[in-house]
Amino acid sequence: MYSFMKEQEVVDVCGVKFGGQPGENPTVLFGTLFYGRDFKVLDDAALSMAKNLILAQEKLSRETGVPALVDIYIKDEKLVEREVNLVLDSTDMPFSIDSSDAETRAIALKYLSKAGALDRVIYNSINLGLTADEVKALSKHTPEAAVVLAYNPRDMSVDGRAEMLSTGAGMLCVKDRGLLDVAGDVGVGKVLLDTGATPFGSMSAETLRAIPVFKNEFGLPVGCSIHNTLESWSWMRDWRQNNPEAYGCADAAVNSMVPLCSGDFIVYGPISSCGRVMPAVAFADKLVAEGAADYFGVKVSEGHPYHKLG
Amino acid sequence: MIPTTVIGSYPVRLDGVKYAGAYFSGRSVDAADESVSQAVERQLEAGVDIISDGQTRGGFVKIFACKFRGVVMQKKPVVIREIEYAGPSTAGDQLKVRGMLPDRVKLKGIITGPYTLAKSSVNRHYDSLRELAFAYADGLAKEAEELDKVVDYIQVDEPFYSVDYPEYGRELTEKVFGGVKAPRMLHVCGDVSCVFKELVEYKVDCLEHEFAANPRLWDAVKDVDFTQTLGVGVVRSDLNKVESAGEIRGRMETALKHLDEERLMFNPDCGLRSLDPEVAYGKLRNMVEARNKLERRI
Repeated sequence: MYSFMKEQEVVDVCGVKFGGQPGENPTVLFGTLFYGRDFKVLDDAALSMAKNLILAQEKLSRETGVPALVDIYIKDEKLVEREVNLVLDSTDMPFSIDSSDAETRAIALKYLSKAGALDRVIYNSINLGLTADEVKALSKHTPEAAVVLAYNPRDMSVDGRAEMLSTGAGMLCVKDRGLLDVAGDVGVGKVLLDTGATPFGSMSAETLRAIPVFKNEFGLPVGCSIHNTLESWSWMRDWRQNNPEAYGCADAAVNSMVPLCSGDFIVYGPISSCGRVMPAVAFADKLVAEGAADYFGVKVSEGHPYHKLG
Repeated sequence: MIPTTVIGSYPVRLDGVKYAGAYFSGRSVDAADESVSQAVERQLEAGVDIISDGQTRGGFVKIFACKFRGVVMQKKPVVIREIEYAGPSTAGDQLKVRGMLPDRVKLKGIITGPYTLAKSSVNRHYDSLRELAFAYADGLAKEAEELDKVVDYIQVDEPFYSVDYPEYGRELTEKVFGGVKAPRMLHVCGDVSCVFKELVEYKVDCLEHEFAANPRLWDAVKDVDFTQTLGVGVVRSDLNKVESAGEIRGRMETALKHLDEERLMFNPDCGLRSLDPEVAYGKLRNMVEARNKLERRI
């Protein structure tokens, strides 16, 4: 367990607190919605299921004290309106918008601006796939906060990932800027650093090792989606077919590694897995907080699983 | 013809959108191969005679230090146990590069020298800097042997020699070259006026220095008898601006006043990694053009 000499910024998005010294605030979970075969067709049944998943996550969040937000996965720009509306109607919490396509992310921003909801938006993510149009959209419709993704395919070591944040590693559409510069340039004042999970064989351990290193170097909230490393493991992909319950245990265990490495947030996978992930993370949070309070004198925030769960 | 060469690193620009697409579809693709290919293609397009792999895999210290057992990479390499060579750092890339080259072009393998690695490391194991440097030299000698199977020239980089020259420098560098059969080159950047007399005693075939940024180096060179070829820096690596072929030719003509053409090579002052890719390419292209015009005149 860690405590950092570097001052740790606490990022507050609509009352949800990210970061600080380990143990100070609970890990914030992002459950991804609208991903996978259940949402292949976004009909009324799928939307109803989505709403129930949001409510289930929030209920468990209230029970455990682990903050949990919706990560809206948008596969296609045509889905922006329906997906966003469903989330706006279902929760008052902040949420993230998540798409692999820069254009879709930009369209979502524009729609959220029109809906007057940008103050609840965590943009997921500013990454190496940045385009000039996306930079313009971010400047015009600036979200409250953004995840900045450190994935660097030129060098997947911790140093390489940090280079993506600081210099762009010669891969960005903007010259002489790193991704952190870009976030500042477009006016995003609240930044969450994602270390960029990589599969086995691609310096996967650096995904977790980067967490304390980034916290020490940048003083910002840091997290990752280590679940993706598990998902990309070919042995596990085959094995889980006949062992779904055991896979669930592995998923919960993998996600709970993040707070143990002093992470502040986790994009933990499909929101439907919150029932297994959240208790595991609550355990890790409680453990870390107890250690931090006992050893480093950290003041654990109110509502933390440390206080809430006997 | 006076050969043109590079000192090492070369800047590349890759398409982040393409790699982001692969990442988000669940594939983490190593961009290092494309980096090497791009660096090599640009050097070939510019017409350089002896090229490198571009050292695009990372900083010149990290590329080597992270391959040794006993060293952990933090901001700097941290030596926590006895250093042990764990296998080739760059020979794999060099093999790939070799396959890309036409016959007329030669390949240079580059090794960051043991003194520079030692000075750049946090030493938590060895009793002295000297002991650490020789431990690195043992491993680098093995790297040199691996490179010797693939490349036409081997260059050792020791930038620290110009600012903090160790009395055991010659022994250290020669240990790295060991039984290497390829021609041996030593690159020391910065102002080597004070140590040039020492460097000419080394058993190397070529000494490469920063004459473009430090033209007063010629004053030191002219007073010393030596037998090696001189790799003359004719474009600046610290200036993000392309020098004209005329300006570069002027520097080449200065070199010819001091040494016969058989004892010259032309190169940038140092690695070009910190420059814009277009600027780096322009510098190499103009260097080759200046050399060609000079040759016609000779």
